[in-house]
Amino acid sequence: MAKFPLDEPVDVCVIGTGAGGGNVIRQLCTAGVKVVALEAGPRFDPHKDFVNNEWVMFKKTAWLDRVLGDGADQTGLPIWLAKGVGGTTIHWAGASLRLQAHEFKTKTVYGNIDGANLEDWPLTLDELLPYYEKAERYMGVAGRVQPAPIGNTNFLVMKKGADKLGLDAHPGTMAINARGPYDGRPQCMQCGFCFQGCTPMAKWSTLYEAIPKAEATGNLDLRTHAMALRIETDGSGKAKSVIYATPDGQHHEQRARVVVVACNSIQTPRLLLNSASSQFPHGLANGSGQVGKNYTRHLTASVYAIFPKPVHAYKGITMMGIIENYAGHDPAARGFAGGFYFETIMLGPAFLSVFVTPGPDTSTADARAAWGEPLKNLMENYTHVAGMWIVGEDLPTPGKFVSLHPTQKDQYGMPVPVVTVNDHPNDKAMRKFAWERGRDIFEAAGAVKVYYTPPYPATHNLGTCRMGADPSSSVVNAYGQAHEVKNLFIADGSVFTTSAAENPTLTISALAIRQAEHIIDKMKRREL
Amino acid sequence: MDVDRREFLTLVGCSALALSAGALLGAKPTLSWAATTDDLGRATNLDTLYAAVERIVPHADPELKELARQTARAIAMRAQSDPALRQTVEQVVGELDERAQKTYNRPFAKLIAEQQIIIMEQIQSSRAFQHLVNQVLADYYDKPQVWHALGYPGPVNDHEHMEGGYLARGYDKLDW
Ligand SMILES: Cc1cc2nc3c(=O)[nH]c(=O)nc-3n(C[C@H](O)[C@H](O)[C@H](O)COP(=O)(O)OP(=O)(O)OC[C@H]3O[C@@H](n4cnc5c(N)ncnc54)[C@H](O)[C@@H]3O)c2cc1C
Repeated sequence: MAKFPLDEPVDVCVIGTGAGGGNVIRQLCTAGVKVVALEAGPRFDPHKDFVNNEWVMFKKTAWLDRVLGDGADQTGLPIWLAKGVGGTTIHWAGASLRLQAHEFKTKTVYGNIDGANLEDWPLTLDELLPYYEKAERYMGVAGRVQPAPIGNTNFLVMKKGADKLGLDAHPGTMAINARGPYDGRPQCMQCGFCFQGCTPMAKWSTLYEAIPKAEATGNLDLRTHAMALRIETDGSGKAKSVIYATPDGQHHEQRARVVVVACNSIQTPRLLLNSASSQFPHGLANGSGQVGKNYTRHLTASVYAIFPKPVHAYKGITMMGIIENYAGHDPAARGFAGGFYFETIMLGPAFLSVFVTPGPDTSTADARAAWGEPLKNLMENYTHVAGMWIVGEDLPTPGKFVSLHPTQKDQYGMPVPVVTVNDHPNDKAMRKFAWERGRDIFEAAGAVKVYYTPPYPATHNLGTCRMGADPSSSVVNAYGQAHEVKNLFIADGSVFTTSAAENPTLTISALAIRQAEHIIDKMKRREL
Repeated sequence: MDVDRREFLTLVGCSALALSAGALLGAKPTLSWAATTDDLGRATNLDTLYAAVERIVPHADPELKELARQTARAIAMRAQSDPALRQTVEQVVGELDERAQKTYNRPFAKLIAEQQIIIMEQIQSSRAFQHLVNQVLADYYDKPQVWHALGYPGPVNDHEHMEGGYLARGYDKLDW
C-alpha cells in the first residue's frame, strides 16, 4: 500500500470505501491511477474482529454517529449502514439482482402518479449489461459465475408454500462462494451470520476483494479514520480538494484532479450540502435543488411464521432463497405500480425479539412491542420460525428526503443529517399486498401463526443525488458526474434515479465500474 | 430493608455478571444510586423492576426466570450512569407502583401475575414503557444461556468458536 505526501495533489480522491467507492478504487488503481481514499471508519480484520453476535457486531461496525429521523413512516433507528473499510458491504447479505429493463423508465412506463416524483434513468439495461457482467465476475455472484447456492431449511419452508400456490421459489443470485472457493476466497461454511460480517470472507465485500487488489498496485493510499467534512472548489467552479478530519482533531486538505464521493445516500448529500460556498450557495452540485431529495429506501417489510415442526432457519446463507413472481409491474391486477420480491431472512434471538414485533425504538412511532405471553410464544418457538423479507420499489416523493439539521452538530462540528420518510399510498398498498401474499405462502406451508413485520431501519438507502439527463431536475449524469462540477463524481447508491425493486448493491457496483472506466478514459484524453 | 440493600451492593460489586455487551457498553457501575437514595424507596423500586421484567419475558423455566432477574439488575446498574435510562426506569416503576397501590392497595411486586399484567397493559403504550421493553429484550435475548434454552446454538464460526458452519450439519435438511 502506498503513502502519498499529504500536501501533494493526487489523481483522484475517493471518499468512502463501500460498494460504490471500493469498485471505483479497484478500477482506477489497477489502471494506474493514483488514488487517495478517505474512509471515516477503521479497518476491520474479519478473522479477529468479526464475531457471530448481532449486537456486538452492530455496535462495532454500524454507523453510530447521529442520524435523526422524521416523518410518519420513519423508524426509531432510521438507518443501518456500516462505518469502516468495505462500508455496508461488511454487513450486507449478498443478494445480487439486476434491475429489470422497465425499471429504468418508470416515468414512461408507470405514467403520472400523484405525489410521486418519477423520472426515467438516463441509461438503459442494455447499456449497463456489460458492467453487470463485470461486477458479477468481481463479486463472484453464485448463480451467474459460480454454481447457485443450495437451499437452506428456511428456503425449503418457503418453497413448500410456494409450490402449493404455483409460485416459483428458487435459489437467488448471491455474491457468496456458495459451492466452492472463488478468487482466492474460500467456500461458504453456511454458518448463517451473513449480517454480522463474514469471518471466512466467503461473502463478497470491498474490504477483502476490491481494496486489497487496489493496494497491490501500489497506487492506493487508504486513510482510515479520515472523515471528509467539505469539498472545496477553485475559482473556475471545479472541485479542488477535500477537507477531512482525523481523530486527533486535526483538519487536513487533500488536493485532487478528480473527486469521487461514495459515502452512501445519507452521508453523500450531507457532504455536498455542507460544502456550500458563495459560488454554490445551496450546496455543491445542487443548482437543481435535488441534492438530498428523492430519497428511497425500498418498500420493505417481512413475514415471519411459526410452524408445527422445527425449521432452524438460522442455518445457512441468510438471503439465499427468492420468489420473483411479483417483481413485474402489474397495476391492473394488484392496484399499485412496481414490483417486489420475497427473499429468505432470519435473525438471531437478539434481533428477532426487537424486530419481528417491534416497538417505536426499532420501528415507527406508533409501533408497540410485544411483551409477555405473545413475546414468549414467539421466542419459545424460535427454532420453529421461518422468515421472508419483502423488498420492492418505493416511490420518490416530496415527503422523503435527507436534510441538514439547522442546529445539531456531530463530533466534528458538521451538521447532523435528518432523514424524513412519509410513505406514498403506493408504498402502503404494495406492503399490504405483499404481507398478505407472504401469509398465503407460509399458511400453505402449514404455518400456525403468521407475523406481519414492519420495515427495519433502512439498509437500502438510495436516490438522494439522482442521475438524469436534465441538469435542472437531477444532480449527476449517467456516469455519476455532477452536472455542475465537471471533476466531481458520485459513485454510491445516491445516484439511483428511482429505487427499482432489486437489492441495489450489484447495480451500485456496475455503475461504479462504468464510472471508473469513464474517468480513466477522460483522464487519458486530458479532459479531466 | 438491609437484605435488599445488600442485594444492590452485591450487584454493584459483581461487575462481571453475564451482561449483554450491547446493553452495557459504556456503563460504569458506581454505588451512587444505591448509596445515596432512601433504602426503602429504592429497594421497593428494584423489586418492582424485577417483577416488571419477569412479566415482560415470562418464561417459566427456573433458569430463564433467574436470567430475567439478571437483566433487571443489569438495567438497574446501567441506569446509574445513563440518565435517560434512569428516567425511563423511574417513570415506569413509579407508575406501576402508583397504579398498584391505587387499584390493589399493594406494591406492584406483591401482586399476582394476572394483576401485574392488567396494570402493565394500562401503561404499555407509553414511550417509557416501550423503551424499557426494548432495553429488556436487547439484554435478555442476547444471553447465551437464553439462546441455549430456546434451542439456538449461538456463535459457531469465529475466532472463539470453532464448531464451523452448518455445511455438514444440516443447513439443507428439513425433515418434514
Ligand atoms: C444488514 C444489511 C444487509 C444488506 N443486504 C444486502 C443484499 O443482500 N443485497 C444488496 O444489494 N444490498 C444489501 N444491503 C445494502 C448494501 O450494503 C448497500 O446498498 C451498499 O453497501 C451501499 O453502498 P454505498 O457505496 O452506497 O455505501 P456504503 O457501502 O455504506 O459505503 C459508504 C462508506 O463511506 C464512508 N463514509 C461516509 N461518510 C464519510 C465521510 N464523510 N468521510 C469519509 N468516509 C465516509 C462510510 O464509512 C462507508 O464506509 C444490505 C445492508 C445491510 C445493512
